[in-house]
Amino acid sequence: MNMNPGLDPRVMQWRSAMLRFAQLHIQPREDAEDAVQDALLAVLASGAAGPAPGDVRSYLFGVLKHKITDRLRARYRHGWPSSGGADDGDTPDALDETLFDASGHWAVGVSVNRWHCPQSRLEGEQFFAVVDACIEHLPRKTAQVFSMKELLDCDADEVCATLTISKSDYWQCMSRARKQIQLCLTQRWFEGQTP
Amino acid sequence: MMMQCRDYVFQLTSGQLDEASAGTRLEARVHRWICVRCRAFTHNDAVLTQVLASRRERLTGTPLASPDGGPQAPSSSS
Repeated sequence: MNMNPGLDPRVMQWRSAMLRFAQLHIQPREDAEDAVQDALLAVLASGAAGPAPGDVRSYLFGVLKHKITDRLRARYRHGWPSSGGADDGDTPDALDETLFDASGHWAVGVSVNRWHCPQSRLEGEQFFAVVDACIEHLPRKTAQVFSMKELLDCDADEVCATLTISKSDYWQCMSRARKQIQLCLTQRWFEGQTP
Repeated sequence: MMMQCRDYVFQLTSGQLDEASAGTRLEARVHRWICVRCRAFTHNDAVLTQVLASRRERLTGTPLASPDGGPQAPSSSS
């Protein structure tokens, strides 16, 4: 059944991709579907001011990003829920304790080698499946901050305001995410690759 | 005092280095010059930035295989 009978078929063909994108930021799935629905309705309401024929994709995702950010802002307006676990962003980072010694230098046994891989191997489905898996392993708060910055293109101040976190929290989360993803990709992809 | 590897990596990965003073950026550059592991980490971090840009393009670009069996073609949504 078409839930948006007034929408251009060019718009509807992007619905699945939009839902997948929304689910990277919002759970449960029903809330992600609501965000997509809001975006599609906003496009419908825009009427003649809608996208030019060659610009449907960027227009749709632009609207969707705003709808996702609105929902995140509403969800976290009273602050980030305390998990009581090690995923609060401002707790001492266990990852750092693995990577560095007490003096702040790389720990003995931690090898950091330059990634070497043909560009073509960094563009395939298999590689991006590994990237997705690495990102899915991030702690929840870290993942939320990271995805807002990297996928929604929000700047640091907007991320902090939306999720009601401090700038210090933001820096901790971004650092942890990039370190953990690099470590994960090194282990799961780059080590053992033949040149 | 000399910048430590942990501090350099934090500055780099958190984004603080982009907003740092000229003095801090110079310190970071010197540290990178003398530390082969931080140099390798920095190279990988730059590759990661490109990878993430490609991932974003893929997610918001060509329609992907539908995870929910939803419509992919205009004709199936009417």
